[in-house]
Amino acid sequence: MRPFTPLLTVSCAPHVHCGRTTRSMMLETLVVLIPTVILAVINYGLPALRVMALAGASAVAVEALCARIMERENETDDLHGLLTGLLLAFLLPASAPWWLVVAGSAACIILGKAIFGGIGGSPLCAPCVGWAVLSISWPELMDTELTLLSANFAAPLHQLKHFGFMAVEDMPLLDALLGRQIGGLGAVQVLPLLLAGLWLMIRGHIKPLIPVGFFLGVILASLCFHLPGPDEYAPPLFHLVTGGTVLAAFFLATDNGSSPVFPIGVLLYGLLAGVMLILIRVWGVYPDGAPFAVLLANLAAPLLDRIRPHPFGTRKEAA
Amino acid sequence: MKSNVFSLRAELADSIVDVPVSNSLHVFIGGYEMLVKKGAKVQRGQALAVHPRPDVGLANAPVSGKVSSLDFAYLSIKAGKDGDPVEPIDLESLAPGEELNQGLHDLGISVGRIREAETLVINGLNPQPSVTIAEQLLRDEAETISLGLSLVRKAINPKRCVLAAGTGSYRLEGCTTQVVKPVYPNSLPPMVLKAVTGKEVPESTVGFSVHKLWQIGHVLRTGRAIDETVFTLNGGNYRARIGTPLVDILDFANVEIHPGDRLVLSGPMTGYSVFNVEHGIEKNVFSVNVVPKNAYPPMEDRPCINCGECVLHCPARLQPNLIARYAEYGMFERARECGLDACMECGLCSYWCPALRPMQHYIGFAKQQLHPQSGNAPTGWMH
Repeated sequence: MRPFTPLLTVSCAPHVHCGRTTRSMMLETLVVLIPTVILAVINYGLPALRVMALAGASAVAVEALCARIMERENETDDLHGLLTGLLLAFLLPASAPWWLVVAGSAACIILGKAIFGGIGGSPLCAPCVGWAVLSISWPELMDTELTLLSANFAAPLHQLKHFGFMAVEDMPLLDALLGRQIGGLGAVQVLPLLLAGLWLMIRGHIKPLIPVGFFLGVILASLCFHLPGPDEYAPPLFHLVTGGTVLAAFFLATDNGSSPVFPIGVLLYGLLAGVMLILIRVWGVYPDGAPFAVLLANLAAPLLDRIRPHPFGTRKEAA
Repeated sequence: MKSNVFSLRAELADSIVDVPVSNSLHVFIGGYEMLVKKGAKVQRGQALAVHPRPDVGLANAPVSGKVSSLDFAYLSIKAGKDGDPVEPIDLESLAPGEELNQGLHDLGISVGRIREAETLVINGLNPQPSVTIAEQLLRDEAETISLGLSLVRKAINPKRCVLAAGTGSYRLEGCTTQVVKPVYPNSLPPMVLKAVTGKEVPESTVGFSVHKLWQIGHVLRTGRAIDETVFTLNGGNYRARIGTPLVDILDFANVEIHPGDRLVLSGPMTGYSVFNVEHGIEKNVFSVNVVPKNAYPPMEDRPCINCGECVLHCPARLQPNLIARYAEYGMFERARECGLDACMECGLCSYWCPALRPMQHYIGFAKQQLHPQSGNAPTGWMH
């Protein structure tokens, strides 16, 4: 007689896993955003911390409430709600009143996530939805230049919009990289965002072709304006380091549910978002408009995902 | 980053170790029609059960003895003295075609793919990561494989014979060796056939694993039904009688198993888990793995998050996320329109899924609903 028979676990194949879960992906993204948070606090002081904390907390609270109302399992522990709130805060001015922040978080979670059935279901990038609702509803409070008059920084995109490129030509590159410019409180911390984005790209958390296409789109489109009119229109580098370009390229456009999957579609999607960003900055009423560019590209994502290969062994039949 | 996880290369050290014959063997006969009753005396090689599908080989007694218990899944044999030996079948003397196939079938070999073809492909790649049996067989059992190959070649009558292997150092008589990058999922039958023929739907091509050739060589040499299998366990390769309880094999190999672990047969990527350590090893099993309880996050019943990881890793260029969702909600025809039938069931979609969805299970479920008759055959590795 054998001493004991172990009670085994049965499961369907495969019996191994890469170990990467939704939660661990969100956690890693949050961790790599910590330098950005710190630089935002250094540049904008405690008001920035207040907005980020409030946005994160209210996003999680709204998500929990939505789960309750919809009689679904509370899945806030996957940290996606927290990340959404933080990314929204990155787009807001540091001076945003508390109710604006809460309204934005609620819009993100309800309109950008919950009504589509939770994480990944939304055809639009959730933080951009929240930002769009706020900027259309309360434009004067969302205008970073008006609300941050007390800050000593330049407002490169506003000056570009109103006075042309000559007015901002002498802005030091380092100032822009280190976030000494007026804009969304986290979006302008370009250098830490860039490093964080590259880290996620190397680790395979985001599809590399999205930021590549995005930057390519920004460069090509801005060159089209800058080469014929160098005095009026800014060169590519200016557009890359000001406003929310880097944040949009690495963190907003790469939102998994709302971006295409197959390589060609992904590249076109990135290009489209990048080109839209420049078009909005040049011809639109918004000085920055990075979230709008992402939203517009999101709308094209399902169409772009139709550019897909034939399944294995069916190529001949289809031709 | 994780590419080495899928490497199919093997560092072979020892030769194949024989597991001693247990006193009591449990032959899995789920889905078979029984030919013997409880209490019957059986001889080694005697037919025990027949599968309703004519191309699936018989279940034969791996040892002489008495049928001590019999239920819907297992036939247990208590080993006893040999009586009159079963008349050996001389496969060499049988004419290729019906006659030879019947002979192989009676010796427990499935003959579904033994028919004339222009190209014969031998899959010499290790089937899955951590499984080294293919290279071990090519190195140590080349004689048996060649024997099996000679018979298969007679039956198939190919113009071209190719051995697909991870390195160019393996040779089989009369075959050209083609090196295929030894990385999973390149070892899957459709991938191997594509690598060799250059076509995704090759005409008049059949593939066999070296494990299958070894089986055929084995029955050809002994004239007795297949009663052994060779498999990888914990880095080494073993040979055991069919029906040997897994617990005996684990004890013999000094592999510990604890409550809550998973006992997986035929590879960690596509294999199946058994619920009891007394389960007898089956003839097509090429690997035994013990997966510790908390080694990997368990699968969950969560909705898809549309991350696209499965799409990016699918070797069949499918959208497993869509197919799995259609299958989950019973929309099997829609799943088929999305290319369900091209799925190779490699398991990579579930491996990468951060939402921990049982993707491969949903896909297999849809396939079974659409083709109910195909679910019954014993599964294996290009068997």
